[in-house]
Amino acid sequence: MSDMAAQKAKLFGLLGLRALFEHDRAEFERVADLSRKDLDRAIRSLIDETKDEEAPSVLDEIQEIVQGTDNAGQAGYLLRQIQQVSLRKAQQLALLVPPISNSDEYIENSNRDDIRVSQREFPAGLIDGQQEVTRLAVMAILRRLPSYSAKFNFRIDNRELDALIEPDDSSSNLPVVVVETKSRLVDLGRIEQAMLQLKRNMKPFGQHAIGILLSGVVRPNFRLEGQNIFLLRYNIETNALDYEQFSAISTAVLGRESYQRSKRPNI
Amino acid sequence: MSTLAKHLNQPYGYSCQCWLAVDIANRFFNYTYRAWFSTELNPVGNGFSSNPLVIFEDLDKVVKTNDFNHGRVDQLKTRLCNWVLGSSLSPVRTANLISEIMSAPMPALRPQLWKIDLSNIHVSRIVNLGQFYNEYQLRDLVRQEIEVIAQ
Repeated sequence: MSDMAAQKAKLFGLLGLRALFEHDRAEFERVADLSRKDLDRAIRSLIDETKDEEAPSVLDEIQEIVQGTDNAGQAGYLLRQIQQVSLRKAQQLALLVPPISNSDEYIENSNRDDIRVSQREFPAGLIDGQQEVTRLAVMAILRRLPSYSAKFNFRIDNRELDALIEPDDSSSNLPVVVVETKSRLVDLGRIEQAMLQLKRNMKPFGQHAIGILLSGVVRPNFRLEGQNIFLLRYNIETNALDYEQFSAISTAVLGRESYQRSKRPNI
Repeated sequence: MSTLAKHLNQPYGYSCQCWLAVDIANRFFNYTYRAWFSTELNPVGNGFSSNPLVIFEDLDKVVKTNDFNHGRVDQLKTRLCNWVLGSSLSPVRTANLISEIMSAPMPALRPQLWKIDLSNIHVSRIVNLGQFYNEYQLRDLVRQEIEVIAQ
């Protein structure tokens, strides 16, 4: 009984977070580390486990508001109401759960889970020079693409992408950006080889995906033919992207006008 | 090493945390802290919601005057509940922590102002950029990287 109340408390809390994700992304990211996919997966799994009858309709309601309301202010208000009501319900249900004993074993286990998570996400000592270039450059790219988020060493179809930059709102028409980092892109044969590899990596994301070949050393005055693959030089010493090369990428991703709006100074 | 100090061109980051958040992190997250920081104590370009000094001042006043009806109290408790809900803790542990947060007395919300040494933190540990220009997130801060400069 108390386990069921705990699961329902978590379920309604996650529904509140789901509503928060839709109406206030900045606040959501301040409080939670979940992606929308993980959040949806956790909600679905708890709905299956608890067989709760109310939760699916709350989830449907959130989706209906997001998809069906043209008025952003109204949608925001409604989602905020759902967020608050869901959290209150989670809090009420939480009060029904008797405290578990603070056994050392339990605390140790919960600690161990989190250590595993942090080791997986931040492999200390395993960051090589190339990964460092990828991460630094992607940070600089994200400064100019504020509605995007990055995943590093992303695995798909038995391939590992150096970085995948995705729009936060997956229902938007914005393209995903696949990044492939090379130590040098000077030799034409190497560039061609890198392009083929990048094209293979881009395939699962459809024809609208944008590809970036990233390197600290790029053949001077060289431009790639084609509309969706770009060379990008990143200077690790000055933390600067090649302005012209990045302008072309930004235009391809956001469109010319959006780029001007999103342009922010270097960090 | 490409440190955050080099990358952001600032030696320190500043963050405001409440005692209860730190205590929960100590007990259930292996003394590992999830913190938003800015590279200035009073980043005037940020909004009040991501200004460590403003948050510290507000919370300090709220706690010292026992102003339990202040909006910050509800906001902070909601944020702590959402943090716990979005974590990998089990449903029972999550529910217990929510009860604990809701019934936490005012002194548990007393703020700490942190100075984070960015010169030993690799840039790849930044996991998020915030709503404002000078707002960054780390999820794996440890005690040795933090100095409590006011509480």
